[in-house]
Amino acid sequence: MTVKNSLSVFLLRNIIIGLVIIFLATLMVSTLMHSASHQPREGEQMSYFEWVQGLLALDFFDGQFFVKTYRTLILTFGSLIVSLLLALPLGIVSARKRDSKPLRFLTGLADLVCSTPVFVTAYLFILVGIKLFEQSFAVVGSERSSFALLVMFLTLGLSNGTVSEIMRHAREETVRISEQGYITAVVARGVNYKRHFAKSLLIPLLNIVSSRMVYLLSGAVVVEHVFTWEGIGKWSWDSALAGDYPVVMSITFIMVLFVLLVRFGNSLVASHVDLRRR
Amino acid sequence: MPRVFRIGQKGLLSRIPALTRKGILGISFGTLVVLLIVVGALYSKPYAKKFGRGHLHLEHKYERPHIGIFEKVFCHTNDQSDDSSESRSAGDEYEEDDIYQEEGNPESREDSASMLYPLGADKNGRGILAGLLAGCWTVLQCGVLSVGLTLLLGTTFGVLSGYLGRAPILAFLKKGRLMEGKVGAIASSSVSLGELANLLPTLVNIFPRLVLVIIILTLWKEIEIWSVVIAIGIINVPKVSYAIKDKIEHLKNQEFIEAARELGVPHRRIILKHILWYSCKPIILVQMAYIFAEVVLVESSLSYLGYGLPHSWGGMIALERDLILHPGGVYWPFVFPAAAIVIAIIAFNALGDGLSRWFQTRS
Repeated sequence: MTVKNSLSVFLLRNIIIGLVIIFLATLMVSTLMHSASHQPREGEQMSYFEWVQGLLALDFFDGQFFVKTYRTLILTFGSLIVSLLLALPLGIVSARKRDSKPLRFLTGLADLVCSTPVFVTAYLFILVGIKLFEQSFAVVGSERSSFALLVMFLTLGLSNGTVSEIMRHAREETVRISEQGYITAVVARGVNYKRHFAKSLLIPLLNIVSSRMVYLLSGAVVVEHVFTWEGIGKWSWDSALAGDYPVVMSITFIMVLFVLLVRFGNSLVASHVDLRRR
Repeated sequence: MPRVFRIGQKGLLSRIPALTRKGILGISFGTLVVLLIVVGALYSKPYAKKFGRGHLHLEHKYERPHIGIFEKVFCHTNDQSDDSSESRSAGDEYEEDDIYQEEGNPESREDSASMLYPLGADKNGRGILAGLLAGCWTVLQCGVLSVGLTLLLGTTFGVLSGYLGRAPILAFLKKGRLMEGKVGAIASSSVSLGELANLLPTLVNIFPRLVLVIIILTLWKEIEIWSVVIAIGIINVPKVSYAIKDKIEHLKNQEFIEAARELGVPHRRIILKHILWYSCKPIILVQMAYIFAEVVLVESSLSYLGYGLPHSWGGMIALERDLILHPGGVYWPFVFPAAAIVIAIIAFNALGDGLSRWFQTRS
């Protein structure tokens, strides 16, 4: 079997499994929504089949939907970047300098912050922003100041457990990779080992990032409530309570699709780096 | 007699790294906090009854008449009228088993900084310490029930998905003359029995937790303890399921399991005794601690967003959220519940880490 054929089989298998998971996930949510105790609003007693028809005709995706999805994606990816910028260097350096007391203190502090609920961290940042920087978190039209966006990224990135998980995995993988024979050989030959090290660290890092996406989306629900950031997290919460079937189903579809795309991208990159993973 | 210090003898502080590596420090800290939560939960009702705390009904709008010792020492609060007996509306009724049932009239302002309100009061006149103790009961109740449900479901799915194996469902297509070509390829790449059993945990794992929790909670008209327990229990099932599944896949091909099969030991006995009881006990105990931390986090988030249990730390923070934007020098109604949540989560995570290291050093 040629490399090209194996890639096509790999892609086909992942696409089919993804479609099956999307179907089952939306069917599960549909069953729960139809079993909900509140009465649906008039004209919205939609069946699952009708919703699928509307989905294929793109009836539910108006401008408001895309704007809110964009806002939540901005929040999620911004928080992920903040988490990676903080956790990755800390994890790698703490693996190489295990006896350093300042690093131990910093890792302990990161674990402490990660154990804080998102809404507590949010209010602490708001308090610091108001007291020290005299910044306002008021909404000007539909836009936010860049400071408010940064605070939102820090809130979700720091307090969701993502930083401590990435740091811990980075530390463990750095120790494991450093003990490998090929790294020792590369260092002995005087070649720059960082390229080999980065390639080995990439796959576990992608695994942990793809697994944390779900937690970031969950934390985005709380952050959007605290900062009144109109994204699909807050929208899904309000719609579920109001029994808005089409909105909940469409948001469910988007969220599951997003998570599956991230995991698929992870598998694709991992299979490109290490062909054995196909 | 003073203790003789020998040269080279290690003091307590220098033993901390070794105790941390063995997990003893984490287990001690976690156990201590668990005991505090249990004592707080058991004492919440007697405390409220003994000191008479002010009742729960929100129709009573107190003007924050009570300040605590901390507030008297550390910050200056606005004086408010404290004639709270007049603010009580007519026809208010107490629930008989309401832990906030008041005995007699509320104290006057001069008596406010007392054991009744050592940590001050919230804007409805309810003591913060009594709220923390009541929150301990909520955490304990919710945590124990959720952990039990999660372990039951997670172990079941983990055992099924791990024990049924990786045999593809369409493996029968490979028998006989059908094993050549595309049919054989399809049979080999089809879903396995184990993956099928792992379907529900996979579906639960793909959703953001709070979104799935609120969708499950809409099944009930009112938020009750069982609705929150079931919702939080379900979202933690994948964690336990994957851990048990990985362990069983590792153990399934061990010699003692094969020997048990050859001796004709029933599968149920192999799973329950040889796998779960003898080999998976450490995993289950460690996951119990982590899931408890998760329960505290999710339950407090739900209460903050307005859809959790009534006496909850998250609800206390939600009540005082305006203080952050307009502090006025009163931070304690936010600080103490937040500290309680953070300490509880850290303690349960430390307990889980400590147990994990303890079992590793023993093995």
